[in-house]
Amino acid sequence: MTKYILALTLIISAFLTVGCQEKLQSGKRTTHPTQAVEPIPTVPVKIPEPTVPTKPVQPISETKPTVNTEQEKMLSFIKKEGILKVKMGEKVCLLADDAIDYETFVSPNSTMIALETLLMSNLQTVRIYKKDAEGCFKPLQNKLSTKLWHDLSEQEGFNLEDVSHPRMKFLKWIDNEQVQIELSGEIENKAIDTNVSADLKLLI
Amino acid sequence: MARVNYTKTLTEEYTRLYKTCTATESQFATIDKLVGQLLKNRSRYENVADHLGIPWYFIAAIHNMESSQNFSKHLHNGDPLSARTKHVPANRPKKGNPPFSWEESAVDALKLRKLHNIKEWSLPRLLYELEGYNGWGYRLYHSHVLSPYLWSFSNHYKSGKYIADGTWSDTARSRQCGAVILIKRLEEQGKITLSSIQNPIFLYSTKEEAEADKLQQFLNLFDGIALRVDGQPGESTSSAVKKLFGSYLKGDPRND
Repeated sequence: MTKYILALTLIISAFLTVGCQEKLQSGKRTTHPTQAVEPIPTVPVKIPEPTVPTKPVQPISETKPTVNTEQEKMLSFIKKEGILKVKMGEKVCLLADDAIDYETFVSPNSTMIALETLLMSNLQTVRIYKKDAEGCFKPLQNKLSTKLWHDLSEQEGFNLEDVSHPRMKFLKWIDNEQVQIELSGEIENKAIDTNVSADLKLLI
Repeated sequence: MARVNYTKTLTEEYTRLYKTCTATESQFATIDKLVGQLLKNRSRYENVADHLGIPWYFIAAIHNMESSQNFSKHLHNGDPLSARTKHVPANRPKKGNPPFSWEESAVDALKLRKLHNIKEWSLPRLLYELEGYNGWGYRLYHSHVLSPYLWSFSNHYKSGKYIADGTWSDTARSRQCGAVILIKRLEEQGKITLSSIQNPIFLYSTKEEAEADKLQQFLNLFDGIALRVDGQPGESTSSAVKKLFGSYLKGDPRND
């Protein structure tokens, strides 16, 4: 008798859940969390005129912004399932595929991209990309995140490994080769929150 | 980030790790304190959980990991509720105006990750979603280390983590209690019950299907039924189901 009760429970459960599965299949449910990030298919980004930065806070660097063609001025980004690509006219280049989510910030002359990268849910960095000879954006040889965090840790006397919830937030392009970044995190319940500027020429 | 699919292998791995997981004794007091705080706020987690069909302890664990159980911060990323998020994901929640309640922010964060669409919250699924919430970097790029987001403060984690500048360190050690340890302690205290087995879903199929071998083994317990346990819920298995319960498996053409 017990066997029959067990069997009945199992089969009823099976039949009930079959309905659920069919609904899920018809809804094409995905299972990967990185897909859960709201897809932003194509986001056109208007590049401001090179000679008129929106919020200048320091003198423009000596390097004059190059004059771009209209096509170059219009970049768009394709973000899907943790993969980010940049589209320039017909050309599409992969920027990153190793993080949960991204935010992009194009330099005034559109030759560089600052990429806020949510590497893990509790770790955000900023990466810098520069347009290469072939017209694609490639990461700078030296990492901005490494330089800024190491400089700060030396200055403040803490160990990088002890920082929890470290985050880099892009604040603005000071000019075509300088950025302002916010570094934040916690060390043993003490908050780190500081703004720093960085000269990207030093990273090339 | 590359896709990590929810597979049978992964399911078995999560179940095995959970069953063999023991908390680090020196951290017992810390763990109990954290769990005590989670329980104190259980009703707040349940308010969000009931709304979305997500277990409250999943939300509670995420809340501990992302913002140290602070109800004045966004569940998305620990930014203050006094404004929309500024870190990635930025400008959340899109609806409403700041200051946001923790509950409305939490609903937005969980919906953004589409966690409200998950219908089955077995133990392995819970662990899979926890790891995915944090990101698959450990599993994809440093598979020799189990994610501290899940296993820190347990026998399954010693060291190795991403440090502030985004680089990997084999010697760095997480100082935060892993989400699984909190959940396991809740279970130990009898506050929650977890099932390591997913609800069985059996459709007629001539191919091998997950869990179908268990169905066949079960059916074989009955007199007059002798099935080859091949994991293929095809004609014979479906006939056995009909013999016992009066109808074939869903999808069996003989139902037409």
